[in-house]
Amino acid sequence: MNKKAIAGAVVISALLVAVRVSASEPETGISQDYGTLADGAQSAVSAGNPASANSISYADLEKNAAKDTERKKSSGKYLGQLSGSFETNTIHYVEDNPIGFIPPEGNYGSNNYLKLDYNYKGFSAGLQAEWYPQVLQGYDRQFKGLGLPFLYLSWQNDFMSATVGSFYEQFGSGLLFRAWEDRTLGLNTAITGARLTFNIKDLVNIKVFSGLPRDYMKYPWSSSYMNYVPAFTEDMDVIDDINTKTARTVLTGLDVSFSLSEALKLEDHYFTVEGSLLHKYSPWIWSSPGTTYYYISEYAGGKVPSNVFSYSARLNYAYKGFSANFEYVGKGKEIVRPTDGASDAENLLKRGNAQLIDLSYSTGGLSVSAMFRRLENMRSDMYRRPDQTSSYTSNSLNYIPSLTTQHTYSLVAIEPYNVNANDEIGGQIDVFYQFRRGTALGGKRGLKVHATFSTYYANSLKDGLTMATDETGAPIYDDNFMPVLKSYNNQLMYREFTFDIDKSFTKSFQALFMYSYQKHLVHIPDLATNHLEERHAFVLDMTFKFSRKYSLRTEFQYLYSPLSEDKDWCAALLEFNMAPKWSIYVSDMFNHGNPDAKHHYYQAGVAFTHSIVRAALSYGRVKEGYICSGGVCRFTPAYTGANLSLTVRF
Amino acid sequence: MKKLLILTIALLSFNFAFAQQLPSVSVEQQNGESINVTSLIDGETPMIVSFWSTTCKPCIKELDAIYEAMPDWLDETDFRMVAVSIDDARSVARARSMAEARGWASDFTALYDINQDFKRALNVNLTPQVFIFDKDGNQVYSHTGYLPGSESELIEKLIEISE
Repeated sequence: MNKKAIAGAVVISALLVAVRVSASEPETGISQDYGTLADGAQSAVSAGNPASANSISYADLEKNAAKDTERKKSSGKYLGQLSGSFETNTIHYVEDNPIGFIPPEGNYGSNNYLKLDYNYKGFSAGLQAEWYPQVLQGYDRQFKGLGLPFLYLSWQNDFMSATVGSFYEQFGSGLLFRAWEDRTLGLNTAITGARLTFNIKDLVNIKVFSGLPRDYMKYPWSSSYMNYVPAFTEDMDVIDDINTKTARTVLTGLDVSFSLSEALKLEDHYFTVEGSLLHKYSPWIWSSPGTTYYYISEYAGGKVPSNVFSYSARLNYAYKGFSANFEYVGKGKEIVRPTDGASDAENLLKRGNAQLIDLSYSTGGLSVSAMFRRLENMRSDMYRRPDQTSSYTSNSLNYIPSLTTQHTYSLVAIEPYNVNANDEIGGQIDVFYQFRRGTALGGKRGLKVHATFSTYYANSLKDGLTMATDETGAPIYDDNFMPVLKSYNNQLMYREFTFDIDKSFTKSFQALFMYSYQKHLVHIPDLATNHLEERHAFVLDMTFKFSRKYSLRTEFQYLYSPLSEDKDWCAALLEFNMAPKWSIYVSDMFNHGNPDAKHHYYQAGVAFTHSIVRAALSYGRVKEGYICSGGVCRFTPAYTGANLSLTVRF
Repeated sequence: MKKLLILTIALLSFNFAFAQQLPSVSVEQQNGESINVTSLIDGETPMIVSFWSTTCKPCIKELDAIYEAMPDWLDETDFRMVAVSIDDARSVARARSMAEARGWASDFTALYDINQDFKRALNVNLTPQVFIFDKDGNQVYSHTGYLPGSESELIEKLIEISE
């Protein structure tokens, strides 16, 4: 495999050179392309605001391209451009008995990233080095040590690009395939291999790639991969140290987008037809649910395929304030593994499919968007793991987020809804309205309102069971004190209604009020069942601006949640800012409604920003979720201790 | 790690251009159509480029503040405002709607960096992140985070480069 990969790289490089020579187009070709880009830019701008100063003309671009060339020639010593960033997130942990937090060995964790990119004309090369002397609590332990998991070399002109090495990619909305990075979630699924993209006169866009998905800190040639079917004894005991080994996966994909609006020269309309194909090659499957070992021939009657073909078809249409997007995904036969930890008997060989409809309309200050999505057996892993019952954050082939509002106020987001990629149907609708300045409600500075509604059901799987509840949401028991079960089918999983009002009363006082109602099917491990919980969250966020430099922000939150185990919460935050460099804050979240665990989640911190550096230091007891303070927002897992977060970009 | 440091220092000691230019990456416009970021360079007016997302409250505050101040700023110097949403498939529809309702889609150039290629190319780790690019697309200012009042640095810098 290693040799094959190297040979592949050599072939691609040779191809690259060949293409480079043949693509030395005359100047006219290049300016033509600038022309079409300029048209695009202009139409986007003029669609929104005819009086905008943002329009870019064809002539401007051509002139600028000429200037650019001139400047580069005259400088003589132009050696290219180097840019990059460094980020560290380091925590000193403290033992915290009341909430049961036990720090890891050495009481610390540290995630570090160094990214460097070099550009010279159409060429670029770059790397990302990652260093985890001990990964932060809450992140996957497989991130360990120092490594160079991301290295690439690429070349592009206006018509095509070629990349050898690592890259990120996404087809459509990502329902079929997405390779991406999210450091705060501890996720990186970059592909290492080769990719070519073509843009033919803005009419047809083609992407094609082949490569190995990233597997934490392992290199593709690592000996911890296994290329052969493992040996078993007659009792299904494993002979090799197989638990540490994984099958190598190779992905190949093709994505084509055809612009009908460009072909038919439809002005003001934007209309594309798109399609993708994805092939996953995973040579074998092996699993150890519980203590029983399975051999490939034992699994689903030995019919587990090594090749999985999937596809998607998409339509995108936009005209003035209206837009519509449709996506259908068909996923090849794979072992379906329910995300809710259901029994092994439910692991079946099934095809998957998904439908996504996204509509939006806007006019004046009103804007409405609606989404519908249906998922059936869509969970798709990049690597098949020996231990497939564990969750691997960084192992998803496709991107299936919960289509609900991602709240950032801690009590509104206290228990967010998690999508069930194998079985879900539902949708959401968002309405934004801005009362303009000078209207009765708008006043001098306008008034912004936003409302969102979402609802999701379990739909397609008929064999799931859940606990029956009465109209108050309390579980129903039979005469033997056993919970009464009912079919999972058409079970409400999540429903939410949230609205917020945002108003600047004066130049120095702004306030936001939010109310959120959430009904959520929550799993109760003790009863091995689920019940519906209802929550009401209230938020008041106020900013007082004393001068151009000094401001104060306060946040008050209350969560009314009588049916949940944790009952009611309240929270407050006080943040003092000295623009543009300093910010200090103190906050507390208090679980006052829980008679067994009245815990304070307190925090204090300071953040400093200057030029290319941002440093933030905080101490406290942190509950998992978004932390929006000191001028930025980031997701963090639960911990107690001191956190240093430093970013440098250049 | 040591090797890495040596390599970094060696690279840094070369005579590279550090003032980063607008990279050649493709993003989506308000209607979903693709556009290459370099086509925004017009050789005449500088631009503010602000990275935001629907889950970033300070970003929304910053864009609102710029939106509010923009008519006054344009009296002082000519510039363009580019708002780049880094929302992915989960929330990009919400981002587009929000940009429409808040007036950003019409008064700014609203771009959508759905798989975050533009964000990565400019080494943006945290949002809000704001840049000023001069008329030729050279980066002349950058700032991470937003605190009420921070925006006044933007107009000061724009006036400075126009002189």
